[in-house]
Amino acid sequence: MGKEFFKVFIEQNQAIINRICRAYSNSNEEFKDYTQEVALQLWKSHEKFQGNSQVSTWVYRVALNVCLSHVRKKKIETSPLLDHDVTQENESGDDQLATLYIALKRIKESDRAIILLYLEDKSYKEMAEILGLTVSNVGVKVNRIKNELKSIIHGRG
Amino acid sequence: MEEDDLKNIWKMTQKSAAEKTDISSVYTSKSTNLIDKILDTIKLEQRMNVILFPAIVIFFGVLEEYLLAIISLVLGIGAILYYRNLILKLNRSSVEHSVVDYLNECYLSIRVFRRHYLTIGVVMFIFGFCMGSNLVSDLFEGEVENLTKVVIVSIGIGVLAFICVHIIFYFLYGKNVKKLKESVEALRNEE
Repeated sequence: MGKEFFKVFIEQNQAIINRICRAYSNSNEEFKDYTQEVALQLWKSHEKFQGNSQVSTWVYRVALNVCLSHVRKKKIETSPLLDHDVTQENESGDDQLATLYIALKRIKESDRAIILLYLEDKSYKEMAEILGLTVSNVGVKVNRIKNELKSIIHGRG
Repeated sequence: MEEDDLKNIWKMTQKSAAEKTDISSVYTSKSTNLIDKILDTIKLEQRMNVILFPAIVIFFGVLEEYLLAIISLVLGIGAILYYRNLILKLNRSSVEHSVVDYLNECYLSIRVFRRHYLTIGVVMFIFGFCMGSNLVSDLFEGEVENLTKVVIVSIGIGVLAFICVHIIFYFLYGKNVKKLKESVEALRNEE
């Protein structure tokens, strides 16, 4: 893959990379670090990618691996977003999304990886392939995490 | 909130304009990935081995300390081979592995890295002490009067080095080890 082709490839997958990185970062600086590192790792490993799985599976794997294993440079300040009241009524779409992000950041990082793939509308089989788990284990975990998310959103968590 | 509502809300993220990654800087940027950072450190040490050990051998050769030159040569070859294997081992991990496999590899790599420093730290402390006090040459020339004292002091220094390396590692990687271990266990745990 040449540099021009890689640029197009990143542009095509930018939205996936951003959504995953956003869910793991607590500041814009951290978000940029994550997206940059994901792009770098994709560039470094693209020659090893043999097409045995879907391209999106590969992108999700790399993005989640980077976010979950990243060494944080320093203690990151909590985003002001987290200070909002998560139980407010009559939320607009943006508020609902903000509330979902807040709830996502309150669950364990490993659980976040699972529920992110669920939200991305991945099948249990694809999720199992990306995560390296059994399909049945994915199903059970997704149900448990969804309940946990709903509890947080409704102010019971 | 219904189950599908979560997905519907998440779909709103797809409507927002994607913030673009600066691709031009990707090719020249340095990785902040955990295994890459460990590999960089090990490779730097290997480069130092390749430069330092021959210099030490030549230094002792010039001083006509042939026994010390031979010991340094053997240690140097051993160290270079050991580092080579370590680099090959760490290179096998791949960021495109499944999440569980990759996190487990990161965790194991840190453990290998710690074991490496414990070994190197203890050996170098003891070797440095023995060299500094001429114990090695005295030992081979049969001039050591009280061998028990030498052994006790060497063990004491080894233990001190072991504790120091442990403490340094705890502060540098303690959090990461804990986080990675917890993530792997949580993901593998059948519910």
